Amino acid sequence: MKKILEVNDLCKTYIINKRQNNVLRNVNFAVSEGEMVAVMGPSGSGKSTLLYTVSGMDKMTAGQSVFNGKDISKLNPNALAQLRLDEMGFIFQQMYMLKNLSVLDNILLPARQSKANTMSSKEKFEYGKELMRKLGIIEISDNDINEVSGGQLQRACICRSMINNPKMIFADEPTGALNRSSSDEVMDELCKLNKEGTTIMLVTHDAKVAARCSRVLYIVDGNIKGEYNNNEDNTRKRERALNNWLLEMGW
Amino acid sequence: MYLGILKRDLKRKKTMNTILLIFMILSVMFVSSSVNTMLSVMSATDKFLELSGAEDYFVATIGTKAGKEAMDKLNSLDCISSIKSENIFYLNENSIKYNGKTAEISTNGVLNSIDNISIKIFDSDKNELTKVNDGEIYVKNSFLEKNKIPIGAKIKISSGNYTGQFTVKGTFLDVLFGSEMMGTPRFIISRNEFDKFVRNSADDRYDMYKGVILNIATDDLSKVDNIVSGIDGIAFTGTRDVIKLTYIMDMIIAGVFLIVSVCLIIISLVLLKFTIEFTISEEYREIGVMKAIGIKNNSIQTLYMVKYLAMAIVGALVGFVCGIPFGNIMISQSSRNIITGQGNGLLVNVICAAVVVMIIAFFCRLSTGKVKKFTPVDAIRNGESGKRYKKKGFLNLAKSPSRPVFFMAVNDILSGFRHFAVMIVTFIVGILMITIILNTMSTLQSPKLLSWFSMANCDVTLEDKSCIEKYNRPEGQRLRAEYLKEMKKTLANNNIPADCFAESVFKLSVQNGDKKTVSLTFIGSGTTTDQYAYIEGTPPENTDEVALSYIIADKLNVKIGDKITIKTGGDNEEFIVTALLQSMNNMGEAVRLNEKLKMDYSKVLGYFSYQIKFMDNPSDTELNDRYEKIKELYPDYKLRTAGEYVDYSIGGIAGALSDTKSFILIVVMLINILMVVLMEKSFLTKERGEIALMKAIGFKNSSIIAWQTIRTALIMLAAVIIAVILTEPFSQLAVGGIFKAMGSKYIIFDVNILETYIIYPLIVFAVTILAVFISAQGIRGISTQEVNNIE
Repeated sequence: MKKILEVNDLCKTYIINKRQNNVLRNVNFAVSEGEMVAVMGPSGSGKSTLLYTVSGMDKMTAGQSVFNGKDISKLNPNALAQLRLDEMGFIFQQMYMLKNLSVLDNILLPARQSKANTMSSKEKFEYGKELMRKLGIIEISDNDINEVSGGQLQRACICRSMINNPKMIFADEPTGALNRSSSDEVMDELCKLNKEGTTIMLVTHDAKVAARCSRVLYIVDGNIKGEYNNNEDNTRKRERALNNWLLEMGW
Repeated sequence: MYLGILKRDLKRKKTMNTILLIFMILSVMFVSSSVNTMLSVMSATDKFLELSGAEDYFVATIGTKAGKEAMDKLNSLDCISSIKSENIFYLNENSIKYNGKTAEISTNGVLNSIDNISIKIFDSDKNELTKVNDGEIYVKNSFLEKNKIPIGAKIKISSGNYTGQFTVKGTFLDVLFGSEMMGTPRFIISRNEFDKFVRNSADDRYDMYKGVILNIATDDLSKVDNIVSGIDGIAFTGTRDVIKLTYIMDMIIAGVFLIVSVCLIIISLVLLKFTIEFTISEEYREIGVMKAIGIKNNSIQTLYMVKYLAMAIVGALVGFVCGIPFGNIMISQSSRNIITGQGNGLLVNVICAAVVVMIIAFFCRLSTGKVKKFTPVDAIRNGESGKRYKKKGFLNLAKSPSRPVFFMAVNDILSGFRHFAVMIVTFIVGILMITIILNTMSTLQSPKLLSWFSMANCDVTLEDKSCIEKYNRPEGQRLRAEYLKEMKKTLANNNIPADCFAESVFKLSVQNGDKKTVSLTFIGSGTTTDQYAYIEGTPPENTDEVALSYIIADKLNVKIGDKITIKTGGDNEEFIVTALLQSMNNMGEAVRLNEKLKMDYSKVLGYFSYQIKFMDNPSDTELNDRYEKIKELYPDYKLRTAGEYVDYSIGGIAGALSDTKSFILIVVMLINILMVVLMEKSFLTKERGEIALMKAIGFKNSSIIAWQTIRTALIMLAAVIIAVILTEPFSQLAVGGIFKAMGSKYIIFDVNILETYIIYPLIVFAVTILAVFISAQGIRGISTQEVNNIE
């Protein structure tokens, strides 16, 4: 499989009150096309920082992150924005949306802004609706973002991340703010997307969520301590196997 | 503990606290200086009259005989408590020479001795002027400006049979002849110098150069008016109210500053309310946390009240200090000819500062009061109590063909118009301030105004300073008509097909039964009465017909069809009133006689410039060629276009307004810049999370800056359109009253569309948008990571 993301010797250091805080230390990993990778680790281990740094949302201190053949450490802010718009999708723990736009308009926003997306306005509109229909939230398309539930909103965020047919979706605790049933629904959708060919990298605390991914990276103190390929077919077995591995890792 | 919270709050929320403090300072500064200006301006003329010792009625006579007659008759009245008199010498258009050339005074001037003036006059430092040394002279400021004469220059003055040379020592303020509309400037010399004029002009031949001014204290103005109107040789009569009205044009500038003051107060209060509401909404989350841990509502309110009051007091102190020089600039700009005083100075500033602090406390109490209604969770949710079912967005990006950036800008405005209301109000008020002045200025320079000055429409005027010498004789009417015919012929011979005509002015006694008044009376040479503007009736076609200004008609209680008597020459003649007109001459007094009526021109009060109306429609280039040709043909006359003549007649007020316009343009631009910079700062604080989200999903910085800029640009554009629509009614409201007081109740503003509605709004628009664009660069500092700040 072709590698869509290659991370080499990635370092991220924050300087707070003249004190150096090495959040990521020489991280190396790669993600292949079509993979669904979870990043786990204790609080403060650098999971979210890793996600944001490899995706170009945050600057790296040293190292390299090559996304779809482009070294993002060498891209200027405009090129990075273009990359995020056309080739990446983002899902956050909180269901961040622009409050003056309806749910559908929030979903359509990146599509309408993108010049690489060659669909007509009408086609984009239809595609946005189709995505909503697929994720079971078509009935809230004209709603205000304050009028819908968290689960619905997070699914809307997934639609937004999908609207420009990105090569890869980055998700930071996509189920972190949801109850169990909503969480399951969202994960069902992400898995469906992955099966359809979208590469996904997500950060999670939830072993149940991570168990649905094909690979899990375990990060401690800014370093990838271990990597687990989950080959079990049965959901329960997958969860059990992952939990066992996590226990070994010190989870 | 509370002190600790406050200290940390001030440190942590530096930007918002600074914004609020700046608004507080500006509010105190604007309110205190504006109230001071308002108080000064509103009472300025009354104060000036008081300070000058002006009594109730003024009379100026030509010749000492008329003065003596007036004195004798008035002294016999019971209603008179005192009469102060002063002897004067009249100066005509050729009386003053500077560097060998005739210095310009509009029609005539008055020469006085410093020890014989019936009112107090003041030097440029606003101290009473009591002494003038021999060989020195004090003059009106505008005389020096008009003739470009510096202080210290030497001028020669002739009157009667004497010419004296004087060094210009300084300028002075004079309530009686000081206004720009009063075309008679006063010149003050020493007693010794004045006596030289008296000694050398003792002969009766020179009596017409002499005169008397009476400053009369009375409790029955109509009785005095009746007596005075029966005396021959009266050059001017006026009550305190008339004197006040002569300052109407000076008051236009003061009035403009009054409008500016009111606008600044509105802007300050609107901004203040917005900022306090905005900053307190920023505190909701913390208020929620405090409520959650059990701190009582009152304690929370007190905490924030203390914070805002402390800031208000600091703001009030700084604003108070800054308001003093700002107020002084506004007052000094408001009039050059009036002693405006400084309002009540510091006391007003202190009261205003205290009021603003109280208003801040009130707004703060109002905003924090909402907190009582919220549960801790509601407060943590930033004041949103539960679910909101009201739709925020009105438009759909899905159905809109516009680019997202433009769509979001429009949608933001429509979704939360209240947040932008403060901007739109400020922008509208600012644009209105400018467009009203521009409208007033262009109207005051409009040739259309000629008809309001009892003149027929023309293209060019030629001022002949020797009219009195040429025509002040019984056969003057014929001589003037012949001269105008000759002028027409000369112009025709030079390929300028034109009509030539002119107005002659008498001051005649007009009577209806026992109602009597003295009015300026106009008779044309080379015109017919249908060339003038009337508001009602038909032009006086016969010699026994007359048109009156509605002010004279009201005074005499006559209407169209009534008969009145006018003392033309020595006899009373009967006339039928056939029309009413409006006039801005002498505050609305005018009588129009038929041009065929024979008049004794030895009694003419004055002559207007010759008027030339081209009979074809020359192009602009042709017009310029003709001006040059006419100047060549009549090198001794001063050529003015009709617009220039109107401006000159009003006292060149448009020029002074032009300075005011520039000052206000700068003030408006500064207010807009300040406001958009501060508003943009607050938007960047409030929308930090959303901006980060937009960046995260791939919006470039330039797109986000465009979104922020377009939003303000749209608000500004809407404000410009609304202001343009409101300009005409607001101009009527703001300055229409001044024109009405001058005698013109039907005013149509002459609008220079390009300048008023396009160029100036565009300048303000461009400067404001540039300020937003620069401020919006602040989004570059927001990182995608800050998406977590989203509410």
